[in-house]
Amino acid sequence: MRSFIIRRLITSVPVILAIVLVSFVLTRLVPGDPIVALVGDYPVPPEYVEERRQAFGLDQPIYVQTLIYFKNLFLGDFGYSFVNRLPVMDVILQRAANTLLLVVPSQILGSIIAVLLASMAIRRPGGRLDTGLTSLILFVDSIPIFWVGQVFIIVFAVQLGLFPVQGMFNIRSTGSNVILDFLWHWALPGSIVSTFAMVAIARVARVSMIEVSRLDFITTATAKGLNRRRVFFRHILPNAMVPVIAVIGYTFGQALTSSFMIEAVFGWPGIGELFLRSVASRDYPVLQGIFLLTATLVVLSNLLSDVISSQMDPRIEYGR
Amino acid sequence: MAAEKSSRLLQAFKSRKILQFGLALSCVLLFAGIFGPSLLVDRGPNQISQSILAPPSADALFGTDELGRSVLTQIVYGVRTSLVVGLAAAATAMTLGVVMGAISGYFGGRVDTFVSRITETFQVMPTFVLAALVVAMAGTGMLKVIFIIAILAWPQSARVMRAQVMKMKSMEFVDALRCLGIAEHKILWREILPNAIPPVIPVGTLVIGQAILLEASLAFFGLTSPEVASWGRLLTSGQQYFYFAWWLTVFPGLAIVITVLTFNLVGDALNQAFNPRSGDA
Amino acid sequence: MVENTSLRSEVAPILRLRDISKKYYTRDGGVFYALKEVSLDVMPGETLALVGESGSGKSTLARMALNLAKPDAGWVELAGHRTSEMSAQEMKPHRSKIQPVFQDSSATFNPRRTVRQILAQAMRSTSNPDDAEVEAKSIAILEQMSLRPAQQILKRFPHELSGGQRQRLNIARAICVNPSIIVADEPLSGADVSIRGKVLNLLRDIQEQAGVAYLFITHDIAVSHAFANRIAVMHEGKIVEYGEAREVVESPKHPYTKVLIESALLGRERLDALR
Repeated sequence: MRSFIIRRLITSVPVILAIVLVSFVLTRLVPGDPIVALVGDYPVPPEYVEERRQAFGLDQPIYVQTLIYFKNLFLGDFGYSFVNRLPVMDVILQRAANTLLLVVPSQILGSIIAVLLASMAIRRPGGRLDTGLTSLILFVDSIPIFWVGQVFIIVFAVQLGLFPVQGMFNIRSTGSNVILDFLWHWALPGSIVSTFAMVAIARVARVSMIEVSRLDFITTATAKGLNRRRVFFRHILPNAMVPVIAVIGYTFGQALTSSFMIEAVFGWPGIGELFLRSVASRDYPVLQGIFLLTATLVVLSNLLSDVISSQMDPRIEYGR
Repeated sequence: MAAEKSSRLLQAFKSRKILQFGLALSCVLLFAGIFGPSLLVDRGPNQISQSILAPPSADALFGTDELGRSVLTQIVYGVRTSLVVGLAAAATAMTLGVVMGAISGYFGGRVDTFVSRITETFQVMPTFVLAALVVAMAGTGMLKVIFIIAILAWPQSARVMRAQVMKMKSMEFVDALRCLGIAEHKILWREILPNAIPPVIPVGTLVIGQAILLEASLAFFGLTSPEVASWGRLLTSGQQYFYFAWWLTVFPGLAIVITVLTFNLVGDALNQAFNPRSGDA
Repeated sequence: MVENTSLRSEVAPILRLRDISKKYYTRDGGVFYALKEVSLDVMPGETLALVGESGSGKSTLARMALNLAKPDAGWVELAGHRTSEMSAQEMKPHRSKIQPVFQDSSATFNPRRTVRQILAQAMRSTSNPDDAEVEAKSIAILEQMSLRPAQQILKRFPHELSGGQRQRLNIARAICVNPSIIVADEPLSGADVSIRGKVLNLLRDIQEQAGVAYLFITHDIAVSHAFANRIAVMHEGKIVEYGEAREVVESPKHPYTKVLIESALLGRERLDALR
């Protein structure tokens, strides 16, 4: 088992290296002086520009520059963001917590609801609840998430005045009110991200449960006369959960992207909101930093999913 | 197998109202995209008027924006953009995916490992983040957007294609062809490919929808060129004025939803016809 | 056991397999022999039946004979040429000498090709006949296979034919290029009992008319007895019995052969007893 984890970690390494390589290639795509990609496309002190030029060896041949780029990143040198007046990593990490506050509860909430809905739906495959669920999934797949955010703001915040229009919290709230205030602000953006997460997971949960319920051993159990509920909770659910747990990890990347867009629409001060502001201000170092962080997180969550699902399902070979 | 599938497709078409509906709607969209702008002869998308931020009325069915332009007109012009990006990106992604999947599935070995690694790497990348990054740094332009979407979407069709080809390469008729001395590459491209493609087509339809959504997202965040009419850009104005002008947000968004939904419906129905899955009665 | 036991000892075998071995490495580091030093000959115009249970390595051997797979050790000789060492390019001119007939399944033919296209493709692989020649020859072959009406059959797709018709089409495809030997891998399995007789008779007719040899692979020793000149019995990757058909069946030497014969006979005895 441990060797499986180690092997999986090893296969992740080339992927992370590829990500860094992609990032490097991107710095080369910027038209004009490559230093712009490393510094940002806005006014910056010339001494800093010189220092960066040296640090990244821009006068060297390209393969040397690639190696230097890799080296700098692994040493933690992501550059400085003059737009935000902080080192890039600091800027990003400052806001990471806020994004996680949005994403993680949504992912959890979405998963729970997804499993519940799927369980209820497959009692009668093709029945009303089941068709409703599949239609919902199809529908949500067709909607741009940021638009939903906008519509919710218009309907619930502006027109009905039930929820705040923007932001994560009210500066003026104190004490226990802080939590309530936070929840009040979380309600709209969180429910949207949760719903989209729910849909992604429900799709897999539903198919998985149906497949398991059709397996021979389930038919045997039911034929033996076992209580239907018992069959479900003891036999169907545990087996069906394996791909579901896996997919929670695999959809983490999607969840992050969803939250980025929702953050922008709601002014939620997280990484996503930072990303889109940096796009506008052309703060390239921050953009690269966010990309590297996000991609690495996705790789790690995939890894975690693989490890957990291999633990849960003894049939999955360790030598995959 | 495939001849049966063609008749199965016809059967599916006749029995599934959704598929008929979806296809009909996509024809309407196609029509609107091609002929729409010329039908709106009296109003160009950039025609400014006096009535700024006017709510929907007989004059402007979907209202006007901050420059007095008709929202409806802009939406109609946007159909073209979305369709072009969607179809072009999907076509490119499919071609790339089919070729890579075929080679990877048929020749196996190191080629397969290499291509699979690349596929996995691309699957891991957060799509929107990467697309936004590329466009932000390398510049906007419809071609770039199409290219980037295709690059991020091809693994999906490659995976399906690879699975199909792997299933087929150990079939007896392939061995019989080898015994006739027919070259490997001819077997792959002329005999296996036509049989392996049908299940990949629904993936293509879904990619169209994904492409349209991605283009709208990029446009919303200001990452596409302003000269091109785009629903996403309309939504950006909507963001600014949502306190007073809900129509700037609602209608372009609906346009996106309806268009993407159309393609997703067609794709889903095709999927059920070609790949009968468990759970789809 | 490996020596040529044919009566016509001056004539060279059309197919020779010598010391063929194929091994697989198991997960715990062991070695598994799918084939171990297998040798056999097929004489021109005769039928050699290769009998064994599923998993005994018969199909692997068949594929090696057809040069679809390479052995780890040993060699294959087709009409005097070492095919086991040839590249695809080198093999090309020899391809038409040996053709396969596989078990009928949905994978036997390209589902998108009509019968006409299937036969034409086979004919065009070795020579360059014009359309009229191809058409005429296709009809002739279909007639020979009793696939009538030939004109209608040509237009059909394989899945539109019955199992028996498909199997005959399989044979038709094989004889299109006038092979010297046909490797038939379980050609009767999957066919109805009533069809099996017809297929066997057809194969016999072809052998009488064209002098085609058969490497007839089967698990059915009774059929081998009726149909083949010589029998090779295979068990766990090795040839355990090899000789004239009648001799092998009537006086088997290896215990496994005895088991095979007994189980075949038992079936028949039981049936007789029931009547």
